Amino acid sequence: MRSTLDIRLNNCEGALERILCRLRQRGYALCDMNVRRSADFSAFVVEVTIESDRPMDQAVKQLTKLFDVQSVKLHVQHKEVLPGNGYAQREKESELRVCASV
Amino acid sequence: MTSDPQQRQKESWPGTPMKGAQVLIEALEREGVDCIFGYPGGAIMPVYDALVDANLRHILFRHEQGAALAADGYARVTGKVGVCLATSGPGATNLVTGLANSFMDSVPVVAITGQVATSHMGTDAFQEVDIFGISMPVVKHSYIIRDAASIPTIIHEAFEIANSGRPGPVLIDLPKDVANAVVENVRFFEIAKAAPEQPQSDQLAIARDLIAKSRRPLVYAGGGTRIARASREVREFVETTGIPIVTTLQGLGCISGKHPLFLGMLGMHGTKNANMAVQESDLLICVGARFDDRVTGKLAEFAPHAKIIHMDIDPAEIGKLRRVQCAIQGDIKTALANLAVPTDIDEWVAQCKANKETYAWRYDNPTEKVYAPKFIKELSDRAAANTIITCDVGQHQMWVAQHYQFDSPNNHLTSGGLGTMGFGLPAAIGAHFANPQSQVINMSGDGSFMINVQELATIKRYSLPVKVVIFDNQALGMVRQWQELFHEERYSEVSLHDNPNFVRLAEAFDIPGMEVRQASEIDGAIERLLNEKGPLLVHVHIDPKDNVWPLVPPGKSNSQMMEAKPNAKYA
Repeated sequence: MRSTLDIRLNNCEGALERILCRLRQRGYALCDMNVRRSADFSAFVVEVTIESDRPMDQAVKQLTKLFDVQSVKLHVQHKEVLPGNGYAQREKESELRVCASV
Repeated sequence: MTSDPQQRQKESWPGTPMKGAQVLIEALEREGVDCIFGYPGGAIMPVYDALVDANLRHILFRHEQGAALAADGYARVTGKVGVCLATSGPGATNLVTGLANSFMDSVPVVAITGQVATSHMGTDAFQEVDIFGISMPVVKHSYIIRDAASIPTIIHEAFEIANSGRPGPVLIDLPKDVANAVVENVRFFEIAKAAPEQPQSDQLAIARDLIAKSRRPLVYAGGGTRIARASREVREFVETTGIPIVTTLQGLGCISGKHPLFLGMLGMHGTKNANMAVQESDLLICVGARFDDRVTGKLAEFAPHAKIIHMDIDPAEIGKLRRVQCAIQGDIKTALANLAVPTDIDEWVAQCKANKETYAWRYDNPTEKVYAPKFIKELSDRAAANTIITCDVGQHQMWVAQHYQFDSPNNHLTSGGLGTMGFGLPAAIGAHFANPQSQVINMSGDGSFMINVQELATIKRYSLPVKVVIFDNQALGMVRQWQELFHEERYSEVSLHDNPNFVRLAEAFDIPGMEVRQASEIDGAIERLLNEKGPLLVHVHIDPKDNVWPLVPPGKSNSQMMEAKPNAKYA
């Protein structure tokens, strides 16, 4: 599944890096990202499209936990899966390898 | 400064100018820090200079990993934030395993690292490393302090983050020029602690209804019960409702190991009766646990008939791996106190108790060799109730979990999530400083012990009465067991036949040692272990072929437990 999230986060050192790190580590592949600063420069406003077999509400919960994140909104859920964005496929292959090794 | 929390909203002390490092130390003292664990170096020198005049105590370790794991052990025992300190570069990277350990087991730690001066950051300066970036996946939050005036705010915020909600480690990177900068009007902030989030009443009503209607309910308690200090509420809930309980590795001790409704640890090396109860239950009341793979085995076949009530302070854990029928997010103490309803489960309880008796542990070792579970059970029976056991990782860790009967989760310090070999010795030192009145025993293996063996020097330096028991099977035992069972006995790099003489090694640090080779020597060894005034190392030789049973093979359901072969000597 591919989804777009609207994220607002403090304009702090490492804040953007932190949300990208969390999404990658929790299994959400990045498809698209737009970032701008709020009018008063106090926050980043991020629109990020991610893809994964994993539930999108988990991505929202994982981002919401971050101290610098002010809000996360599941903006759009896309039905089609982008070809060539291989996280889900890699995960399936990895599962197969684990099964084979057991 | 007033001790009344209502009066401690915000206070400021415009006074004499202070260096950033002095502000840091004072901010730590204002957070109630009484000791910190660390190792000095170039970039952190201003802080070590300020420590000379500090009221808090610094404990010098021999490796930064030891300092980080000691802070972790200190925090687990006290419930307070553990603090560790290291310099930049290799000092900082050596902390990372400790931070990951605290992150995985939700332990509140603040790690402070020195950094090269801000003008040198990003230039590949001597001992420069981007610890802020390196540590990002294994911290709850992190900071680089750019302005000395912000130190009080950052320290206070870091402590709040580390120990609120689901606890975790926070890293603070302090460049040397900021540590040396002079702050004219220092302002310290003290804000009353926020109360934990309370569960929603509609979810509590749903849970009460599920419990009342269930005929085979079971409590599945995890490390969240330790973090929430909820042992009393767990016991009262279990005793009021009569519902049997199983715990995870981190949940051990949240109810006494001797309690009649306690069925043991569940999961990969859980008791057979605990796993059977889970698989047959129709309602699983998950209290501060997270459906970890070592607990569930094949997730799709875990507790296949059970509806789930999931209580956790962290909303991201609820429904992460298993769909739930009732989600209770918030303080588990409040939740448990509101869930006691009458139950009609006599038949189920009788079945659980019968299985507990049928599958009780056996200690009738027919040989003269030392059987580690028997040693651990005897120690458990004879040690004081407040004895703190720290473990390393591997077979001995699982034997302790299976055979030591804990009365408090704060007495069992074990690296569950990360599985950090080398955790036990530094954690034992941290535990001693957290609670000097309790006896602290590190139960280790010959593999794990060597990972942080340098901390024997810390025990010597501070004359700590910490005891060490090494179960020596001359191998990386758990890996050897898996190679035996799942890799056709193709043993690869698991032999430790050339271990040092551990007793002589201890003596090099002025720590007395003794060897135990025969079952008949167990009694005397435990007697000395419990009565020795100072430190003691007990080197216990065990049979290299002993395995941990039962075992759920990887990828299998918890219904498919492997047990010792019928012809094995400890069947």
